[in-house]
Amino acid sequence: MIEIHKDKNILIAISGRLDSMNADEARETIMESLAEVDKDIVIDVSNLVYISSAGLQVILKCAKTAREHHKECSLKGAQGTVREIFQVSGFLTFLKETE
Amino acid sequence: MTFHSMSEVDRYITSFCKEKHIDETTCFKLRLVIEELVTNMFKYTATQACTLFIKHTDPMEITVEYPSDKFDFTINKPGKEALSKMKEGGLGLFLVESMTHTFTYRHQDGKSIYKLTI
Repeated sequence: MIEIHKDKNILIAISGRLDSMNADEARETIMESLAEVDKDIVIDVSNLVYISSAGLQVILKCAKTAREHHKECSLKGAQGTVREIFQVSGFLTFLKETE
Repeated sequence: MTFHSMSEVDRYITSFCKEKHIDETTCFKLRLVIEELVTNMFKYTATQACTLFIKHTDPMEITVEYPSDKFDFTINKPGKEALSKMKEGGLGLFLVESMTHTFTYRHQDGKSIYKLTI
C-alpha cells in the first residue's frame, strides 16, 4: 500500500510488501505523483515488511527522479531485514537515512 | 513441486513457512531468494514452469530448476554508480548471493539448476 503526502517534503509511505507482484503498480502510482518534484522526497518504509529487487527498482526510480530535479531523496524507518536488503544492495550509499 | 506463476510460488512459501514454524527472518530470505530466481526465469526465458524443492534442514536447502539455455551466471556487486548500469536481473542475483550460505548454478540436460542453502 502506498500513501503520498506533499507538505514540506514529498512523503511516500510504503507499507506491506514491495515485490515483483506489485512493483509495476507501485511505480505507476508513485510516478504519477512525481510529475512535479519541487521538494525533497522522503520514502517512509517503517511499515514495509518485505522488499525484493523489483521493489528496489521502484525506490531507485524515485531516487533518480529526485536527482533529475536537483532534489534529495532519503529513506525513513528502515529496519530489520528490510534495512539489511537496502544495505547489502548498496542503496544506503546514495540514500540518506532520516529520522 | 511445479509452479506456473510467481503468485503460486508465493502462496506455497507462505504455507510452507506457517506449517514448518519458520521464523520471520528466515521466511523473508526464503521468499526473497526464490522470488528472484523465479522472476528471472519468467522474464528472461520462454519457460512457463519451474520446479521447486525445499528441504527443511539446518541449513535449509533449496533447489530451483527449469528448462532453459545455459545462463551467463556472473554476479557483480552493485555500487553507487553501478546500480543503474547493472545487467537486468543482476541485482536480484546479487541479493540471492548475499542472502545465502551457498549458491551454485549448473546447466545439465537442458535445465538451469540452482542450489542454495540459507
